[in-house]
Amino acid sequence: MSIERMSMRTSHDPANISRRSMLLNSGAGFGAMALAGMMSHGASARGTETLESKLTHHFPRAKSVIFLFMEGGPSHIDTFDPKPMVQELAGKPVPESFGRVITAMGEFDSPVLASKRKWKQHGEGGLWMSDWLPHMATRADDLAVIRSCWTNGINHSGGVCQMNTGTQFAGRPSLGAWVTYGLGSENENLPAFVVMQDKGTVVNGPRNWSTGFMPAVYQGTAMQVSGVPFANLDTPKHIGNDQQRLELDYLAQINRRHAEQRSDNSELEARIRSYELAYQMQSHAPEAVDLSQETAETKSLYGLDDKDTEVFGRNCLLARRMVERGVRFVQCYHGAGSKWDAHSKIESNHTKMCRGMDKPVAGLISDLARRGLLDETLVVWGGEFGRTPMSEQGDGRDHNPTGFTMVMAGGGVKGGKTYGATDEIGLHAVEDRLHVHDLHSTILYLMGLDHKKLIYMHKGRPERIDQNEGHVFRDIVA
Amino acid sequence: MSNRVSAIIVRTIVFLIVGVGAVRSNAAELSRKESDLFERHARPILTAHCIKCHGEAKQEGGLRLTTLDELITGGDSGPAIVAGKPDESLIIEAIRYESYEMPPEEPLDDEIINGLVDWIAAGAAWPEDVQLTTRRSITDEDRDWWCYQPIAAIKPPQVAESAWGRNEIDGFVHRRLVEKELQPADQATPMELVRRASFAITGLPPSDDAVKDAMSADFDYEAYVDQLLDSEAYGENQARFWLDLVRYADSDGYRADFNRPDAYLYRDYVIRSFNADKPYDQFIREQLAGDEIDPGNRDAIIATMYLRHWIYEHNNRDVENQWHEILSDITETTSDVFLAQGLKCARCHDHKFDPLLQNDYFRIKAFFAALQPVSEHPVADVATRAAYRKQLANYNERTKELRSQLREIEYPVALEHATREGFDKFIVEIQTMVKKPASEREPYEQQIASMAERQFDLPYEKLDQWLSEEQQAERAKLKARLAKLDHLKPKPLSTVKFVATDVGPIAPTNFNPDDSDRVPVVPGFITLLDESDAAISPTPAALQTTGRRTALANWIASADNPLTARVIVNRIWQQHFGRGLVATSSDFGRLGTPPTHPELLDYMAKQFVADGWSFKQLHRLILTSATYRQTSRRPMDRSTSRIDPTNELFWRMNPRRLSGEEIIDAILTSGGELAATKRAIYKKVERNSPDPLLKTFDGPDRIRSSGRRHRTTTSTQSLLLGNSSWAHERADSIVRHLVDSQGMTDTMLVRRAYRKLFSRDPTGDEVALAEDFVKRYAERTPVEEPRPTVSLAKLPGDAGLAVRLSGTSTSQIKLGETKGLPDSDFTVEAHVLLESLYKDASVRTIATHWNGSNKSSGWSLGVTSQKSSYKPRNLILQLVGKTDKGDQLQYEVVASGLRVPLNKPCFVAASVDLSDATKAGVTFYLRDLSDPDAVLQVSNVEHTVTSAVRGTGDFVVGSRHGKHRWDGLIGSVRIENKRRDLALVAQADSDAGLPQYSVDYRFDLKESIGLDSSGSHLHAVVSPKTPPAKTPRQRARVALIHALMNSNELIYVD
Repeated sequence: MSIERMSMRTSHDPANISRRSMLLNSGAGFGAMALAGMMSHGASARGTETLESKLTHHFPRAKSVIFLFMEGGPSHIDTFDPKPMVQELAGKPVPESFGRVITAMGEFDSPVLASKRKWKQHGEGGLWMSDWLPHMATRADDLAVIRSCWTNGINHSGGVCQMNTGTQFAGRPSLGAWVTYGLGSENENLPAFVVMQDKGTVVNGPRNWSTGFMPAVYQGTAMQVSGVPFANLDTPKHIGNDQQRLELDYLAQINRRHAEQRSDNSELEARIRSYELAYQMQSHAPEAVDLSQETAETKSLYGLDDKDTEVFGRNCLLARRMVERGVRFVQCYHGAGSKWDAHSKIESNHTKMCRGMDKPVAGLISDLARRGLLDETLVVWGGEFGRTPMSEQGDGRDHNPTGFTMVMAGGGVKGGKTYGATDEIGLHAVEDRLHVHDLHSTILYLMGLDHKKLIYMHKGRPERIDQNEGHVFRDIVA
Repeated sequence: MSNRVSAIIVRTIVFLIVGVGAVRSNAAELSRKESDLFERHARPILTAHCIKCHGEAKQEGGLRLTTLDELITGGDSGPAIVAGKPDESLIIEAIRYESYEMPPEEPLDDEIINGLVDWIAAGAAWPEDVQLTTRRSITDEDRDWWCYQPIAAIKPPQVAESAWGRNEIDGFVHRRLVEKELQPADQATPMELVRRASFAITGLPPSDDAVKDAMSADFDYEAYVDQLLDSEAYGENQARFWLDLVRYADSDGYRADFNRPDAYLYRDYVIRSFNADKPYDQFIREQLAGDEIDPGNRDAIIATMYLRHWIYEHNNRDVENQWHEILSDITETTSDVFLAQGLKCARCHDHKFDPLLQNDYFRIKAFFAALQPVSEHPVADVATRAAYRKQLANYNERTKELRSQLREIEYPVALEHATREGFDKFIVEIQTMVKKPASEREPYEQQIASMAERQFDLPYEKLDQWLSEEQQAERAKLKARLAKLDHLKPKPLSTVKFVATDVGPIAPTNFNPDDSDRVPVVPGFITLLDESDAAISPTPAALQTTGRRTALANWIASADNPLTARVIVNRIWQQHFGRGLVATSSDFGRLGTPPTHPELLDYMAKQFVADGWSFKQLHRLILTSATYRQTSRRPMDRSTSRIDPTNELFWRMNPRRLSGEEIIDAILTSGGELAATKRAIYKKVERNSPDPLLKTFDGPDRIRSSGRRHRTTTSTQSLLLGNSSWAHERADSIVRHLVDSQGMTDTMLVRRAYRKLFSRDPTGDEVALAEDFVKRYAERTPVEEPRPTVSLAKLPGDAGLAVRLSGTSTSQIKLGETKGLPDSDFTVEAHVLLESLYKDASVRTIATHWNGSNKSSGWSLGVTSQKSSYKPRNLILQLVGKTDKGDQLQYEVVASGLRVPLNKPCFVAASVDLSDATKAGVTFYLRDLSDPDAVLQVSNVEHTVTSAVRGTGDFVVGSRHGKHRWDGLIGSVRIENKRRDLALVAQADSDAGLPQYSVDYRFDLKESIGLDSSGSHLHAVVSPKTPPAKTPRQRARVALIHALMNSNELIYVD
């Protein structure tokens, strides 16, 4: 049996082998995974890439992820990572010993900017948090604060792209797409991967939730801010449900006749089914976003009764409703369009931004917890990078990709603790450094996926989300 | 089944991994478990982490770890392993950081350590003859890989059953079928062939005539194929595949996603090239090195835009990194597109499966090391370029001193005030490169400095404000002296924008960034194919290039290159059969799949070259083969499902789903709309906002090269084609296009629709089904009231009824006649409610008597939008007329400074005393009608236009020539042909008297929107007129077509 014969045969005969079952049966060495990717490629060519629910590599801690993306880069130095040395050095340049970095705005030599925050320890774990986060502080024991994250992109576009896809350079699938590829969906009436923005448009636009080289079935679906939740969910006004049903029945009828003469083309059947699925989504999706089903108390918990927190609160509440209904990956952007980007006047900027998300995030964690969903839902909080200890334009901070904080809660992480550390001024991550690749690998791990085994074959390359560089940060796992 | 298959797969993999080892080895001697442990743990760990210092090159501590013997013998500290006893093995101690700390940089993950422990514990099995090496050497087995063999000259086999075979292809296909005891399928019907060939060659459905011809007995299929290949639509279709490969787009990608206004020239060049049947070797050479090989040919210069399609971040301060990413991207794309070699894998290490060395990556990259993207480049032959250079050198020499003095004054100040992204934010190293005059920069510095310079502009025209008076005077003097020498400048050459050339005749040093010694890597090809350095012939001095890209282009575009012709022939085969003879069309390596019909591939590749690299001949060969003409509807039977369920042997034709472009074009064609809207290939490709339909139907992101589109079936597609207004509007257009007479019956419509959409006649059943559908749909559809194109709405508060206008509608309210309108002083008043602003600088127009041209008299009252230079929501009057200075018409914006609130009913007005240019000349008024206590805001503004403002053309309410639309409500518009102070209450006995309106529109009567109650009878005309409501039967017909449009038969070609 020669190589080519077997691989050709299997790569075009996916009918009886699900990718996952093959992995389980084969003992899943690297090479087997590589072929698995090829199989799925062959499968895609026959239109059978599906979203059906798939088995995990190992026992999953989380079934779903809610990624709260603070877009523009929140300052770790003023929220989760207090730095006495910053206060001491205030007004002076950063000592050379900390190492020079290229900054986006070229103000490396500007004096260090003191943090005006008041810090307190919270929860049984004694987590340090600043007075900008009074509500999140009440959930301190749920929060796993990773202080030692780093990334490569010094600009928003590259940074946001990297936090989503692992690299600053466009063209690769986003984390949500990998998760969808690995796990499929538990609810065919809703997209498996949903994205919400508050106001404005996130940097790079829909590219952030696209699939890069993977097939489009795994891409994120943006939820519309008003009206029907997803695009094209409604028929034009003059077409009633009755009429639509009539037309769909007629369509199914002519499609069946067509398929009868082409009986072994499974794509035709898949497409017939896709119209029924679309029709079901049309009736289910509006229910999923119907907040009138929520009590006033719940709405208030998320801050829906306050205009400052209403917009993000609504998205957080919708995120909970999505994961309740089996959506795998929900991404909520806060400050879409780089609103956290405090190059100047960080006081007023971050006061407003923190206020806009603090209560909704705390409300989400509380609500998930009391519904018993927190254990199976991983909440991730953070931006594309942090901010520098050096000032910019006198009262702002520049982008800091070399050290920043990300926070996780629920989904099998040990809360009430900090992990890793930055240097004494918060410029570089120094202890237990976690690159974005490591964050992604860890998130996949918590979802029951092994980042080394989740492979997609692309142009002969076995591609992984972490570009073969990530490590799972096991310390964080409960 | 799955167990069996997976077991075989695993064995295959093991074979595969071992097989690529540096030394041929025999896995059979190890048990599968042993082999797995070695291949998964020992080999990768030792190779990646140990043998760099304990291997061929270095033996630190006298230790070498490349063979089992060496591990057992050990080094200065004794044996490295004790087989079966990991805890006694020194190497484990070392990697556990218990004694030695290895590797010294940072400890390995526990997972990795445990792997090595397991291997030792299981006895440290090592395959015979395996020696580990960091350097991948090329083995005989590597050289034997099919794609590196010369393309063989093969005599096509004869088809025994001569009745079937039509050309050479069929001999190859038939032989394989016969070997497997299979028979080819029957020929498809002429109508199927017409539809198949038409989409395959032109991407469009067949014309009505072609369908009719196919129904006649003497249909000539081969003539039809020729006719298709001769049509312009062929190039438009073929270009799509190429543009996917070279990741063509009209925007940068990244955050701002700036437009590339000249990129379309490349798209059109590609279309033109295919239509002219440009030989592929020439097509390759032009794109890689058009500036070197044919500098006087405009198309050859445009072709170098191939080297410009990378994504680009306009404000990336890490200039050097971005530049290296760009060169890497070009290197990888070139390897993918022309050679189907996964060179990208070799960027950081030797390719793990293919004989591609890391050094090969940098050898290929070296061909692009001198690349210089340029904003424009001359189109001129060598002699002309030489003459130009000579003259320019003379000018430069004669003006050297002057320019240098001028630069001394200007440059530092200009840099300091650099606009856009600015200059001072770059790190010092970059700043230093930029500050050097271009003539003094090293080639690499020039590349980096010019990349940095793209981020800012220097404000030379505003420089004087920052110069001392002395400097200003000196500057003026120098400029005047310089201007006197302008006659020495060469006459400018014609240029093309957004292309690429070299930085100069000398290339910057190229090296592997992982190599701490930075040993220069000179241009060379894939080592396996040619291990010597590439011979580079210098280009004429006038071109200022290295000749490197020409050398690469010549090597790729050579008949002797075993990859080039095979790769492209395979791509074309894939295009027609849905799968290439090599299924992985951009990867001919070991992780790809070898050809199903290697001899056929070679035959076609050879023939392609022999035919002068002609695409049209290749298409003709494929499309006229019996293989291609088989029916796709042959059902799978027992033998085919057993022997070849995926039709690798071509016992039938594969059906094909249309691409997004074809779906759009087919629908537009059916509605007769294609001529007006242009084909999908001409849509702008914006990377961050792709066309929704193209994207949803698997259009690639055009960020990386794509050689084959995915084919997914999703509910998103169904929602889009099923529910979008675009799809319903197209169905409506198709009905209108097909129904050409009042008396057309449903039966006739169904027949026409089937011909148009499916290129065939419906059966009696199908007609009956359709008729029945139309009947039942019509019964369920309520009779509709006519819907006026403009509707009325209440202004909040007591402000009465108003007409609702939207920023996107096409309706227009205009005056039938304009003769009563003012030509000098006037007062214009309106009740309005504004709901949104434009995102750009467009104006929300209330009323206008102006055609919008700055060369035509007129006036316009409106509100500014978000990007206006007069601040948003500003009530403004635009005037075009004569000033006191003369007869020339001047355009001016008279901005009130009064800000119109959103979503509030307002009274707005402007009163103009045209001849009075002082502040008293124009008075604006604004009052918020929702607030009873709101005061009337008044603003007086100067103006310069003092006469001749009477507009030409129509007087329009709520838009200006279809653009600058109002979004919200307009309750009334009145004009009086005199100036009036609206702050005073109008009284009959005052000087001003009661208003005498020339126009007084009310919008409160549904039946007569725009009734003029001034008494002048200048009633407004609403256009388009309210269309008659669609009858239930018309609705049902649209639904019928919409269903056919959504059907599988439309988007699948048999």
